[in-house]
Amino acid sequence: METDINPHRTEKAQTSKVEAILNQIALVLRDMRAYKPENPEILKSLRACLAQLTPFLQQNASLTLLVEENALVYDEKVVYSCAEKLDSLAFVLYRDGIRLITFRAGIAADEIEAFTRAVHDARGADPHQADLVTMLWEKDLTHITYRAVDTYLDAGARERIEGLVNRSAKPDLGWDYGDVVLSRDFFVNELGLSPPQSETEHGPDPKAIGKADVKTLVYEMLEEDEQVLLKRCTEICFRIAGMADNDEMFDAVTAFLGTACEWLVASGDFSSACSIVSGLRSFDGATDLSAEKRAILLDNIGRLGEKRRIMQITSHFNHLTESRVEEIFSYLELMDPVAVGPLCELLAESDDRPVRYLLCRAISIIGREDQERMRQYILDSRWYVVRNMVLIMGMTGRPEMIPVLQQALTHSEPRVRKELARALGRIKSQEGIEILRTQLNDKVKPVRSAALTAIRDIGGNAASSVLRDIIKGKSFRKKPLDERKDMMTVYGSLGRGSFELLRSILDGKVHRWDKKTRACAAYGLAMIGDNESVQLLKTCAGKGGGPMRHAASDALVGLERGQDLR
Amino acid sequence: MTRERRRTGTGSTKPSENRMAVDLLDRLQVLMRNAEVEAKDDETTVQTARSARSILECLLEDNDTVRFDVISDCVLFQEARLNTGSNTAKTFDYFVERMIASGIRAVILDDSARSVDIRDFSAALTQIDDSCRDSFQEMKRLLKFEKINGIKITERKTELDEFYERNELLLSNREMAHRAFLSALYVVGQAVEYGIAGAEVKAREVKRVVESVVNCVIADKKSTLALTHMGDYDEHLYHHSVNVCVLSVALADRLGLPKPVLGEIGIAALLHDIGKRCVAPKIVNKFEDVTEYDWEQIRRHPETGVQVLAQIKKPDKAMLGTMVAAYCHHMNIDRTGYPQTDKAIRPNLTSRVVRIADIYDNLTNARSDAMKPYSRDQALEIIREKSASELDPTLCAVFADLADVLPDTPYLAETLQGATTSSP
Repeated sequence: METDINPHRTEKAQTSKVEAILNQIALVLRDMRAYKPENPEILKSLRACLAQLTPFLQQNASLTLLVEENALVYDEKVVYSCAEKLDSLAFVLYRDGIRLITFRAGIAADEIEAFTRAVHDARGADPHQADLVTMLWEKDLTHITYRAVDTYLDAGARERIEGLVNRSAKPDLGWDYGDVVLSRDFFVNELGLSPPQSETEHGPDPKAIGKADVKTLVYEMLEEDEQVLLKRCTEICFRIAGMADNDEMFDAVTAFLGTACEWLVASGDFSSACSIVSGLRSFDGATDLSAEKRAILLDNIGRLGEKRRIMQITSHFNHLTESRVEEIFSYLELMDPVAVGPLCELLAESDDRPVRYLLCRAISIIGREDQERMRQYILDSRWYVVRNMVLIMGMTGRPEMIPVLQQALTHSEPRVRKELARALGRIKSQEGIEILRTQLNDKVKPVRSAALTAIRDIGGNAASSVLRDIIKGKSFRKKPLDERKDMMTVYGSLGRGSFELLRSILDGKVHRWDKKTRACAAYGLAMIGDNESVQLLKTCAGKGGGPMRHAASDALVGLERGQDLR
Repeated sequence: MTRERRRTGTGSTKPSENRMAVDLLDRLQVLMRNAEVEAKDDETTVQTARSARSILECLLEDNDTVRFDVISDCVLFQEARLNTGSNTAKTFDYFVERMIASGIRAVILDDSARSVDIRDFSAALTQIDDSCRDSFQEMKRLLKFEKINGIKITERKTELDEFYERNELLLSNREMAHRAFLSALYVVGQAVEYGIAGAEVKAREVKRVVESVVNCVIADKKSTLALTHMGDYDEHLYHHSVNVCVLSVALADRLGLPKPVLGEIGIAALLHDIGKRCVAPKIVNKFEDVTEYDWEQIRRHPETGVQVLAQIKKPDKAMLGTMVAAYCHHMNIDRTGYPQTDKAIRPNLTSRVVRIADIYDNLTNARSDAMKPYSRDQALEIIREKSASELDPTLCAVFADLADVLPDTPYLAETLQGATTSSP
């Protein structure tokens, strides 16, 4: 093997240098997998890579590597190999058709980063959408070039194209088309034909084309980013959907609008996403929409609530501002009940209180008509999921939820039972009173307290009746004093109808021998707050002694100050 | 210029250097033939060797060495494929044959090579026969024996050779353009077939093939644009799509747009007519007796195009641009054309580029034997007229600027074809 000009003439030292460079590139790729893009470790390994590559390229002008399936070859020597395909730099290059890659002198850190980032991204890229060759091509790197073969075509396609290449190596133009390159001179000099017209005769003199006009066009193109194009596509699809005379077309364009929403949500443009969903919903209101199209439309709107799409929102949960919360809420409230499931899962996983509240609000709006979907979460084994669902059902304010809520009454977790009482208080339906009556006897005090509050919030005859029965009952005296006081206070807050019983207790006609219970009635009367009640309290405060006098005085002070007497 | 740069075709030797290299090889062949029949000091041989030396001197003005490679049956000069030129019609079969027989991959000449060295080397090349067990070693021995200076040789069949051959990396710009064109035809055909089957267009294949087309247009516009007349009536839609792609990329390139943007425009152009898959081919290819029903069918293809493209699950910027172009490529800037829309939807730059390329290709390529296409100049004249109202005037002017690279096939078909068929 002679002699002088092997471009890959190397010594052992050169080979070692190349090995070191490739190992460093592999290290950068490993760091990219391990760390987030902005991590300083990545920058450190990129710098180390450049530090090794630059002197080599200064000395050799370029570094050309042959790419084999599991190895990179330099000067006919394997300088990098990795048996594990997923980790192998060689395999990622080879898989997408790169067979030769060259690094040239003058390479900068950003080019190495772009290259390694492309290799990293290509590993996880959707093989139907793009590959490493396309990624590198789009980056248009000056100092890294490559040659690739058409591996993206399957064997059959390659064979067919090969056949076409061979069959039409000289296309049927009666001429070797390649020589058209020389046709001008050839026509004139060799064939004696008249020369083609000069280009200035074809239209405006190209030399006279205003540079400013061309610049305007170039700027127009460069300013047309993804957002602008997406908006255009959205407009087009809405127009086609409005005029579509067949279901397939309607399906395709409305499904695309869903995809556009997905894109916008991913980029955080919730207001545009809202506009699209609202636009889709406006079709639903159109009177001339056929049943088939309506079904298609609802299906495509429903798909917006798929788990994959809902989970996209989580990327915006960091650093939530108030306005951002409202934007996300506005989008979520437009979802179909299908979204309840994924949102509940999201809710179960979230530790952030504002996020949980946002999700609860959204679910309460989306799922308010769909108690069946909520029922399955009431039976969930995770207590916090059940509690969230009870809260959400309360937020709906719909009495239809009460039968579903009742299932939480016997839940072993007190926090669930407490939330049940609060939910019933929010719904404010007389139908919930019976559940609350049970809860007033719960063994856990916060549950009983929440139930009492809920009864106060619901009010009405049923609430009065429940409390009257309890207060009049013999077991009432066995309750702790503060609960007795609270119950009397709440009973008083239910209105003038409570006066007779409270007066009877204060006067000793009921619970005669229990002065403390009788004293509690003073607080109930203060809550009624009419002249007769106040007069009674003043009388009580002015005579006698002990707990009743003290309670009456205390209640009057509280009344004057507008305090909550519970 | 570096090795890889040349191979990719993004750079090449200067035309003048190429011509000198052809001349030098020509002299070498003459010397080889003379060596078989004449004495070494024959006057003709001496003159030819001097002539070769003077050509070498010219070539060495810009190069440290002059290198000729022989791979398969092609000759490379300075590692780029040697263009022999149609009008010279020179072949170097004999040189190639002797290089292969001598087991030489490359010959490298430097400034120390005198005319006698060139003469003796040419003679040595003719002396190796098939009986040699190791022809390359024999050749080396001969060079040493003859004391030939300034000429070095390398052995054939290195791993690199095999690698290049195996991976088809040794293609000229013209061959690459041809291959890219055929691949594009195949891919656009597949895209239409998938569309008919209601399946998603394979974006990756489309992108890769358009990247090849863009590379070819950048490297050699003339060769690539020449392919736009490789028509086929049976697959007119596919050919038209690829033609529009090539023309659009050429126009966008002339605007000075960056390579990734050329790719996006190329993809949009390649798939602009994908909606025609729902129109019967006999209607698409009709050019006379077009009924109102036919028109109605044809006018639907922008919407159908959007329908097909809307099925791409993860549309990226290129595919969004394609969707806009598929819908807007028949809209004119004066709001004529179709589909008729409200003010919100206007043709963007990609659509306007595709519109011009579309019109040009429709004018210059026949859809059947009965149709007489316009010549390049006639088509450019029509486009110029339309630039006053329907088409973007700046784009039209830039397109007209492409005239020097646009082929004029009717001109070829009517005149040159006759000329070539009548020649022996």
